[in-house]
Amino acid sequence: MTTILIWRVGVLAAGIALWFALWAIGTFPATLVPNPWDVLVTLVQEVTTVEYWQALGLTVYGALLGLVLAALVGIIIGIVTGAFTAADLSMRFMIDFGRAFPAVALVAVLVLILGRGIELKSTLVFVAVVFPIIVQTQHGVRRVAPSVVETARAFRIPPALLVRRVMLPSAAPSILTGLRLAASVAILVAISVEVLTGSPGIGERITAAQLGGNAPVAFAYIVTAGFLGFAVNVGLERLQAVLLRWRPAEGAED
Amino acid sequence: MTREKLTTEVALSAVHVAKSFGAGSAAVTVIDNLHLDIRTGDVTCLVGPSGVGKTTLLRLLAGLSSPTRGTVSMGGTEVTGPVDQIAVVFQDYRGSLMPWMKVLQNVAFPLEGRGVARAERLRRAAEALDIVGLGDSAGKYPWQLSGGMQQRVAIARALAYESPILLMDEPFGSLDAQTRSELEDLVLGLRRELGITIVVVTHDIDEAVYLGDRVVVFGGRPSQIVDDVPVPLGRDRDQLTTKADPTFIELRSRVLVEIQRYGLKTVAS
Amino acid sequence: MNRKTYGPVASILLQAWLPIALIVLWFVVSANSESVFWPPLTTILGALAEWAVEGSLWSDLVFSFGNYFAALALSIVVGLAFGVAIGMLPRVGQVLSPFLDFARTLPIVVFVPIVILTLGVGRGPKIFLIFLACVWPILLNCIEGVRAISPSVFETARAYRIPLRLRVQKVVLAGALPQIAVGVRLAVTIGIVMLVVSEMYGSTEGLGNFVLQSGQRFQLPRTWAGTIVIGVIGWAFTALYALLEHRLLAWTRQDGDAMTRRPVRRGIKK
Repeated sequence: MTTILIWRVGVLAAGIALWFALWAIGTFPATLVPNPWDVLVTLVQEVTTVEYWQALGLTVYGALLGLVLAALVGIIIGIVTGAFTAADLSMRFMIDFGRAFPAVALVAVLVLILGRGIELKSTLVFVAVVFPIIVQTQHGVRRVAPSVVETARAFRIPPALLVRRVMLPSAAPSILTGLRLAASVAILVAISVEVLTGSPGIGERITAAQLGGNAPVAFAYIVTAGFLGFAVNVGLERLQAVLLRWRPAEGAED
Repeated sequence: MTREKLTTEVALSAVHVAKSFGAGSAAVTVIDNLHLDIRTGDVTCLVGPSGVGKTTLLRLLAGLSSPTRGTVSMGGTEVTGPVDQIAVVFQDYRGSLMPWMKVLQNVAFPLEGRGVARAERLRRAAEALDIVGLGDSAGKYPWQLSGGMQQRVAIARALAYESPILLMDEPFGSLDAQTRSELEDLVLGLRRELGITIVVVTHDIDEAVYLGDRVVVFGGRPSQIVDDVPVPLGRDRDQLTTKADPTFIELRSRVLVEIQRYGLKTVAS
Repeated sequence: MNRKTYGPVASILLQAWLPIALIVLWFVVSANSESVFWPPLTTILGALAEWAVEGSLWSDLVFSFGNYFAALALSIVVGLAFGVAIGMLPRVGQVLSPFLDFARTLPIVVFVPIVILTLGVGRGPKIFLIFLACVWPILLNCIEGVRAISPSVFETARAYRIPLRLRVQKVVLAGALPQIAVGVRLAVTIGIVMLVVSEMYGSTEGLGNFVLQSGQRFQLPRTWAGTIVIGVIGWAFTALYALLEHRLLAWTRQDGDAMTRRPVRRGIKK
């Protein structure tokens, strides 16, 4: 076990050494490859500022808002379309189209209509994330065995109770996987919007730093974005594992 | 088919081989100081209780693993890795056939590895499939065939390789009795028609005596050869008469008794 | 719960009615629109036609998708090369796994300002950015795909002394193909997003640039037109790829668990 750890430390060290070497050689402009030590120092400095946490907070807030709305809408639509073939077929084209549509493309139009604030960010996150959630929910609902549904119908269990006690628990793994993946996409879209429109947040800080020729700050925020993405992903994976402790690993993405 | 003919009387030889797994105090010695000669043109069956190390020995003979001590040699040359003269049929036929290739391509694949031209290797593959009776299934995918048929494909693949030695590791273990009988006869047919030297690892005593010209019984931990039984039942055998033959019954009992006696208890050598 | 199945005609009708109704609705509702933000659909289509007739639509398309396909091709080559290597060397994979996991979650869009502001608005930086975004899903899914190949398959290849080149080609790549296809599918989608972002950030031509410029000049019909074109093409690529994937993987249809140690169809999304 520890040999692997040693190797990993070695790889990390080699990576940083390579970065340092690239900076030292000077073939790349300093704005593209800054001194790694500077980046580290700057990062530590930035973390102590209010602006840093404001930017982080704004990014997360925009992503979260869009995600929550998308979850509400998406899960409902997912259940309805998963359960009723007519609904499924009716919405199929829209969902396929929406899934494949690069939500970021809407930025140009929406920035004119909504401005550069939280509304723009959360709207784009919503558009980007609602479709995968719908698909994952459909997936989960369809996994409910028809025999279970038949039994429920035979006992004339009211639909609301059926959904709450049978369908949702059964579909839960797929839905949670969908939400987890959606969370990563939400962060990604939020940052993209910030980069493209200057909407306040991590992305905007990176651009601002870069425009000011301050590569260490820009890289400090890049590292932040990386850790944010990583933390969201790993955190939600753990959370999902805990919530679904009573189940074998399921919920494969479509 | 141009199959290389072995000129030596002993096809494969394991001399003072030992095999251990793991290191230090956790080391498990499966085989210790074993000596085995496989005679050319014979069907040699290796039997013993589960876990005794028959598969381990077979893998050593095939060059798929290296002995901790001792050597395996073929016709005088040491075997240090898989060689062209040895073909292997594994127990897990589902895992060893490539599911993305059709049957014909699967059978031809080792030849492709050897650099044989396309037309030639497909021809030899088709021929091999005919020998095992699957000429019609050349264009199918493995999943479209039953377990027994998939194992036949694996055998055909070994045949197309045209090696003089064929090693089989519990080839029929996961098949039903009927299929097993058919495939046992197929193996006998291969030896009769093609003169291949065959080594079969099996835990089925009946099968070992039915197929073998010689049955080597393993037992104990670490594994030792506890008996080496010649099977004088001749070359023409069939499921009904051979298995009713008194010699067969006697040999089979003998082997059974030995396996039960030696089991996996440590054997004093 | 109503999981009826419908006949082919009914099925098509059911799938078609809503999209058609919505487009018609859009057309009708916006027909007399005075609003700057929601121009009539006809005006939007007019702007689209104008863009096409002017000629720059085609050059924009060529520019954008030239970059896209170049980057995609490069990311497939690099992704598979490293994916196969890492997949076949399990210890290397073990050592690298936390780094790969971290890189997977890093949104490549954060590099856009740095790359474009430093390296310029030409093709090269854009191709590089799209490549960076597309290579991860392909690389990671390739590694998964190789890992999922049953060890007996590898053992057989070794027993029959299959040479390395043939092994990689016909055993590793062929066996990992289903998972690789999932990775490429993700890359196709992610690539379009990065294409748009890289062009909107800084460019002199291309679809993204067209949309951005039109937006900055408050030419809403053109902005909408460009957005719709991007959306439709993005969808078309994804749909076409799904068809291609379907045909390529005919052999996995019935295969149970003979090939894989565990079922891995999850997309390792960046």
